[in-house]
Amino acid sequence: MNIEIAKNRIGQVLRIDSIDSTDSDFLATHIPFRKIAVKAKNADQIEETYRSEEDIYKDIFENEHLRDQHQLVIVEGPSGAGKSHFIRWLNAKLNAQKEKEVNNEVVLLICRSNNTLKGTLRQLLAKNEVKEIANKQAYDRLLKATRTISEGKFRSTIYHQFIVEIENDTSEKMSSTKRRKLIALLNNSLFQDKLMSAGGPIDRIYSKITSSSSNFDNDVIAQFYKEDLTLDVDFAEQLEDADKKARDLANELIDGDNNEFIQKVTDYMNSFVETVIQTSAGIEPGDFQQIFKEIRQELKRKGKNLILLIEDITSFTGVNQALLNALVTGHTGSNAADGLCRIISVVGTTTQYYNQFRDNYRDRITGQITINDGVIGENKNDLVQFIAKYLNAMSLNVETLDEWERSGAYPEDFPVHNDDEHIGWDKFRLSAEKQISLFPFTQTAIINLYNAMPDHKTPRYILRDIVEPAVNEILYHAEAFPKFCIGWSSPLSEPVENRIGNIVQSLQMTPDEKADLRKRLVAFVGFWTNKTLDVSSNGYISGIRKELFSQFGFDGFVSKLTSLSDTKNADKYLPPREEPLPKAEIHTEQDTQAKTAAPAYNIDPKKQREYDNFKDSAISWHRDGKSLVRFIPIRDEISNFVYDAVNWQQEGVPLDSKNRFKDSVGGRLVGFERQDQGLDRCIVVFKDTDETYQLLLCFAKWLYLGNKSWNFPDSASAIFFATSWLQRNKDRFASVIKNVDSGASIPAYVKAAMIEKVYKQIINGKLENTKLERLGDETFLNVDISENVSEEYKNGHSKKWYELQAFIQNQGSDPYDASVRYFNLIQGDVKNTGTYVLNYSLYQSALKEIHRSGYVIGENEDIGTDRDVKAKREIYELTQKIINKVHKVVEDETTIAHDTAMKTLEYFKNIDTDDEFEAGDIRDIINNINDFYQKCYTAGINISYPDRSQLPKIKESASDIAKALNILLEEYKDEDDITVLCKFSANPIGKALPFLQILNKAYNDADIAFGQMNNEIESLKQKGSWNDNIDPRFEKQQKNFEDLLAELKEVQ
Amino acid sequence: MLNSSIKTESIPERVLSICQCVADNGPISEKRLESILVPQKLNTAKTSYFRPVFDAAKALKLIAHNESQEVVFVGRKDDIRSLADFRLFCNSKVFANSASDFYKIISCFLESNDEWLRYGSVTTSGEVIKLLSAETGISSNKLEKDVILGVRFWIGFLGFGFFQEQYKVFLPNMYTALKDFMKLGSIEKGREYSVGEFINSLHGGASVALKNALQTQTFNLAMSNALRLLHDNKEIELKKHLDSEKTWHLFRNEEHEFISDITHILIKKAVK
Repeated sequence: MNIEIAKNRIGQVLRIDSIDSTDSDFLATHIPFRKIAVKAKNADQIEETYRSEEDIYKDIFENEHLRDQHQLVIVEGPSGAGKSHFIRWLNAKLNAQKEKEVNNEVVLLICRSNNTLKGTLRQLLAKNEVKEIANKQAYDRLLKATRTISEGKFRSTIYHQFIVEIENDTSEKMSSTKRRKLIALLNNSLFQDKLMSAGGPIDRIYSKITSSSSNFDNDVIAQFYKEDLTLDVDFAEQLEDADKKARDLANELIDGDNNEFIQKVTDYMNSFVETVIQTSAGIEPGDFQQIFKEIRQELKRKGKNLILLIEDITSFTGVNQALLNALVTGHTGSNAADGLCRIISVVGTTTQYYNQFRDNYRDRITGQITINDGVIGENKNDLVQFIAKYLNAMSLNVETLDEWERSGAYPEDFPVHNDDEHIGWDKFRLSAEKQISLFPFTQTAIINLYNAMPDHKTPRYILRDIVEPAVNEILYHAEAFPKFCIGWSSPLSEPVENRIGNIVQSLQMTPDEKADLRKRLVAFVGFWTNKTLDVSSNGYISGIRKELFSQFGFDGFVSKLTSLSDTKNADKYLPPREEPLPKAEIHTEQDTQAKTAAPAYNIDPKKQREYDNFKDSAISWHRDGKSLVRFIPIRDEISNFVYDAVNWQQEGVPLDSKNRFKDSVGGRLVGFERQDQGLDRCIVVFKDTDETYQLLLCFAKWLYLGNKSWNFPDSASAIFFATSWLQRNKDRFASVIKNVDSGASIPAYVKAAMIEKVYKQIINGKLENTKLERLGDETFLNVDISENVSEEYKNGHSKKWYELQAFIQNQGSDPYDASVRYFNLIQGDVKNTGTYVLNYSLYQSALKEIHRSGYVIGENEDIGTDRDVKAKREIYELTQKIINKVHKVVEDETTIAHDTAMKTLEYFKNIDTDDEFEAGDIRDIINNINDFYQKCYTAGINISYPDRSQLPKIKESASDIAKALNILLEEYKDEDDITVLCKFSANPIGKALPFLQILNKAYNDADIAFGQMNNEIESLKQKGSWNDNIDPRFEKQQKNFEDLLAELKEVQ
Repeated sequence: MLNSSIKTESIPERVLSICQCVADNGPISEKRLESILVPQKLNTAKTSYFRPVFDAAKALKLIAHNESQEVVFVGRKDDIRSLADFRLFCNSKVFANSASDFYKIISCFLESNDEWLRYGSVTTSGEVIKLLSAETGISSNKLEKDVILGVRFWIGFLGFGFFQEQYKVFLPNMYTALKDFMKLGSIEKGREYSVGEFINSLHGGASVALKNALQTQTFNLAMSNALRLLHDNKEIELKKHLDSEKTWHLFRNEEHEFISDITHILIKKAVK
């Protein structure tokens, strides 16, 4: 390639379909057609022969016998076969010959341009021959048509013109009843919407007249299709409120047995298409014939003949019958009087459209050419030649090619650029003497790039998507080459692609530079080479010369690769450089399927497809920046691998903690940048890197190809990747699952569980006289406590205390399990085991931490990933709830305690609030009470006496009661809730209460006794037996006693 | 462990725990030690795992009985400060006797490369058990019931690879163990070793992973993966000097920068 010339020429040469492209460029880039079938009328026989394009040219234009005869040659073939290109080649060839020879031919080429009537009319009216000659009125009408056809209301105009035509139809193609029904249906707005919808018949007709859409299919026919007028039941039902006639016809158009009728209506509609277009565009039916007639008359006067080349007859939609009529008119016989010149017309048409008009013009068509070349890539030699010729044309001056064209454009004179600057690049061999350099492509690259094109593998797209971007990069950004195909599906095997990544990774450059180099190399090796990284002893790498790598800045990579490689084995892969074409094949779908099946491992084809599908998703995620889809099964396998392969206990993560995490988080342990769902719920998110991409493919193989095993091709490499990835990320996973703050030894939930255990024991009355800072195995390595139902516990505490106890008991034993299992060293992955071996050092560290904690957890503490794990979060939240309730419990408990203490104190005149109760005080007062009751009994006072054991029992407990009362007497304002709670755990109120109760009773009973005694005095007084406060009964008894005493003395 | 029979119960974490407990509380009676390690109220199983764990710690010469028959810690406290310290200590001791069952079994695991992958679970695979039985003379029954199950904890702990617990599949990559053998050996930062020199500078325990390597100059998958990972992590640099006398071969990996051949190893980072 001549870089300097190409900078100027690339724009000109690549204007493939432009009317502005020169004939010399066109001819210089033209690839000869291979399969041209010619049908010619010989007498009444049709003969078919295969001819070269040069032969056909000579047959039509240089045949002495036919030269002066009227000819109408149809060029037909399937869409994309190259009909248009063939006609353009005829034109270029005619022009080239004209330069050489003096003749009397006027050549008029009508290109497809936008393939619309509007575009075609403009083209025709721009021709000098038409401008100078044409009938002024007809010319003006056509000119007006090209200007007034606006996109706004034009569709509606077309639609209503059909109704007008049907209303005025006098033919008998359709019965009048049916016509009226059809008009009613066409007037229905729903039906109108259907026919005018995008892609519908009105849209097709509209697009064929005038369209600005580049997506428009050039070969579409502007007609009604049967499907357009076939209705379904649902649609017919929507017409419930429509005119009856419309409904009747709609019912007849319902898909089913009415195919014949629907076809009839379709044909009927199509019979108006041409008229509707002409009317809508403001063209008179006779204008066309008139214009051509006048052109021919004028040429005849000047002694000239006309050659009319029409790339596509359908571009005359609306006037094509008029056009055909003009073309079939001969210049001899009955028409001789009109003074017309001879006309040779070559008209391109699709086979489908040709079938529609062929019969009407059967006798007038003098030749039929069928082109069956198909897409250019079907023949790899043509494909390479195609690109070679474009590269060559870009490297040659316009003057050089024009000179060649002026000289007749003979193949033997074809100029070829001799590329001395780019040595070692593949060449296309045009002939023994003429070889075109393929720089910047290799033959392999051209074929691989063509194979990788998604669709539209036509010359236009090959130039647009491959040649133009590649050459532009070479001209202006060679350092980025081959950027244009970096995102294309790589034909490289995964091992080679991964190895490129690994080698690049070892080079000294920035991460961005590495990423860029890796992408370029994957594209270059994948498309330009034999897709290996083989290094041969004679300077070949990947089957191409080492210098080819050097030209794109791949030296560092090559140097590294060369230093690592064993050349012995690679030599056998040396490419046979003399071969005209590389070994790369153009792929078919069947080929691809055959190659992807790996028989050695007996992989289920369905699983292989699943793997391939996922790989496609991963590729578009990694290379094109799309969202990651279909990732969940793979993501789950990766997460499972992490859970399963790491020995968590050995990483300092107790298995119970890991299991709680896994049960809650599951596959969401890992996530990927731009995954299409649920990213915010993932714990460890991996960025879109080469390593993550390889990770996804590694576990897609494990899942699909290995069916959850490592039994798949080259699994040893996959194991290296998986274990290396895990080794690198293990600490990260351990950290999030363990979730222990720095400086701490246990996670928030275990701390909460242990603290909960303390509160549970206190509230249940099981932590008596214990120093909180010494809580140990009895609290934390003990069996879970059951609800305290003892009599001593049942009374005394505040209502809030008992409510908290009920709340805790109702929560189940999960905090207990969590705190106990956390310190058990388990073998394997057993969830519930009866064996227990203490993780000694972890437990000791936890104890210290709990003692330091003050048995509280922060209100808004950040608990890290414990927040995401339900079985951890709930423990934390439960402890928080308990701690929140505790303060109210303390308030109520201390209030009751204070009341109890004060009431008790009222009975002790000698004890002040600052003093302490002593057991002796209690025993004294109990003794007094006992005396009181004795006296009452003796005196026969009628009161309820305490149980015989009650007072001795209190006396025995005097020491405990004194302690309890002293606890109640204490001031708690400045104490922590947990300290207060702990003091009241043993229920001091409950212990003091029986004492207070007996005091209260004795006090009340004393009142009763006093009252009873007073009543007795009053009664005696009233009887007159009471004097001076002495009961007369005592005097009598005293006398009796003294008498008895005297008698006893005498006996002695 | 070492020369004693391999038990499932004596997992490394338990052995470390008992050592730490004795170090903190010793001299201590066995009874008291067991009551701390295996709290009676929490161990609801019929048997206690105390004895096999105790025996393993004793076999590692970290605990012993004194004259009063009390248990005392006789090792270095630095060796039991953490699981990593304990692992390093174990790697320095457990492969001293190449005739031990433990040595032979680990060696078999490492030499299996990727061949056992197709058998699935190694704890139940007849082929694996047959092979190990032939190598060690341990009965198939014992191998299946106890030995392989027990070894799996140690092979992972000592850093020879990952054990997929659910599938009972061993994935060889002795990155961690090799780093231990480098640290225990005489490897110097900044020095470029020929592969032969490198091997000779490793701690002797590394021999467990080099059974066939010395004769064939070909490393097994576990060792190859370790060398490649160290290289990828830029802790060492694998090199291939074309003029080198001896070329060593890694287990083939078409995806890696070094598909197979290496001749030298440059130590880029000090082993921690």
